[in-house]
Amino acid sequence: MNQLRRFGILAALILVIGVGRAQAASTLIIVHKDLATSKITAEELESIYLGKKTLWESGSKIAPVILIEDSAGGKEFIETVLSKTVPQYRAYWKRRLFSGGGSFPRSFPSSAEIVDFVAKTPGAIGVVDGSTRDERVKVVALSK
Amino acid sequence: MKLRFWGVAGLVCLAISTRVEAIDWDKVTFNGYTSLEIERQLEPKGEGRGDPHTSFDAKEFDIVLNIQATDSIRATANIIWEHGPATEDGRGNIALEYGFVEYSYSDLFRFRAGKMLTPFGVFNEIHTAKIAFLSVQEPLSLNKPDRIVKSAFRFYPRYGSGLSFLGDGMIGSKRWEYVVFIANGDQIVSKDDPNNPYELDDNNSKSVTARIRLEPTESFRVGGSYYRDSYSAKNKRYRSLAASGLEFEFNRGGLQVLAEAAFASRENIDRSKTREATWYIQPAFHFENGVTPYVRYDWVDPDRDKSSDQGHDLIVGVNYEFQPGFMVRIENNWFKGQKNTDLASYPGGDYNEIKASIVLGW
Repeated sequence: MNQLRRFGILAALILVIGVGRAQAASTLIIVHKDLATSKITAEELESIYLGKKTLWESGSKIAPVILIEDSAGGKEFIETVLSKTVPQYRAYWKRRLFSGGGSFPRSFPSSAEIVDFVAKTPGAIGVVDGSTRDERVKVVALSK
Repeated sequence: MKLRFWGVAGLVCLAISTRVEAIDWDKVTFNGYTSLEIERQLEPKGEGRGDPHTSFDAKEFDIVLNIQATDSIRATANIIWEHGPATEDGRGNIALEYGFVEYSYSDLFRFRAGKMLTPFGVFNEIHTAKIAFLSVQEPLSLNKPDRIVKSAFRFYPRYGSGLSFLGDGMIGSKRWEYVVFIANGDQIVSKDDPNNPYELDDNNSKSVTARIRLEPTESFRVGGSYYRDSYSAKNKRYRSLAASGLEFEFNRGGLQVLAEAAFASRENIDRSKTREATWYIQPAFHFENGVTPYVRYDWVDPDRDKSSDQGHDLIVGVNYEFQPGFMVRIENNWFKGQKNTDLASYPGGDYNEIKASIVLGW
């Protein structure tokens, strides 16, 4: 059951994020250029956006950012990668935020704004449209 | 005189500009919530302690502040204005719900210092944040059992000053989290007690709260909580309190089922013990248009060694989130007790109360 779930998440992410096949991908994971990270696992990505992983291995703070929840890209990411519906995602973060557990990941209406934020924010990670190309940020691969 | 004015004005400007530069607003977030509640006891009319006049309650206005001071240090606070406070008239309540600093050594080892809400069960840490749950009030069985059966006692104090250790981890691909909170504990003998438990402890015993949660699957979470403390020597009725709780949450699609149970043992001054038990279950279904009907059954047994003293509250309600963070909810509460029950709002009898609220969060 567990293996099946892992395989399901990976298959969905490979479809959505398109590791190593940026041309065909609908979504890309980008990070600040100074980060040593070049790949990330599905579990790590999920933990980051649920506020359970807040520090990179270097000890620097992770600043996650996504497309707004109402956008097609934001909704797709929440449903596919976080395995939650948008209302469940909001409810989860409201509970966490108002019990003192930290703030929602920042959200922006466009990939261009996410790229700008990631480029200027050390420790930032974002999920953007697959057609986005910008040398100011680094694209990371999804690993097993 | 003019020179003095401009000199002072210049100094003020300098001070303000220095302070503005000292704050990196990208590292500060402001959130909050507010709600208005409406309650009316429907039956029986003219009796009991429920609200017969359909009163409005300016329940709360809260500001939640988060400051990421450095990569590993965060400060957070929640300030509440409750029931339309007016200090001039001695009404309402203004309080620091929580205010603490958190240091993260790693995601598995974090440390908090300050005033915190006791991390017992699901609802205590969000009990004022009505925006974070569906019903008008948090489940009373675990959080305010004395509001269902008057003789029931609470399983833990709402807040505490102290230290907590917490973290998130993985066992294989399963998420888990823990928190251990050490605080002064509950020492209030009466409201007139001059001792402030958030400043001074009046005994050597510290309260300990611990909670652990595990997610066996993406849709299922289970957890357990524990609280223990010895009361102040000034307390002439009770010696100590120990409580344990269990929680279950299931989410799949629009379906959510939430359930908790708690058991407590309070040692009385004559060394006898009063054993209390309570539980609730709350199924709900979220439709895509923002409508979420819910049902909750709260059950309280204030003394497991006495018979026919249990009470319950059956709630049927609907929550409508017509814009993200803006909700309206209405529910009916049927309070019913066994023959020896002392129901909180209508001793000795069953009653029916309708409740509604408008809630906004940002």
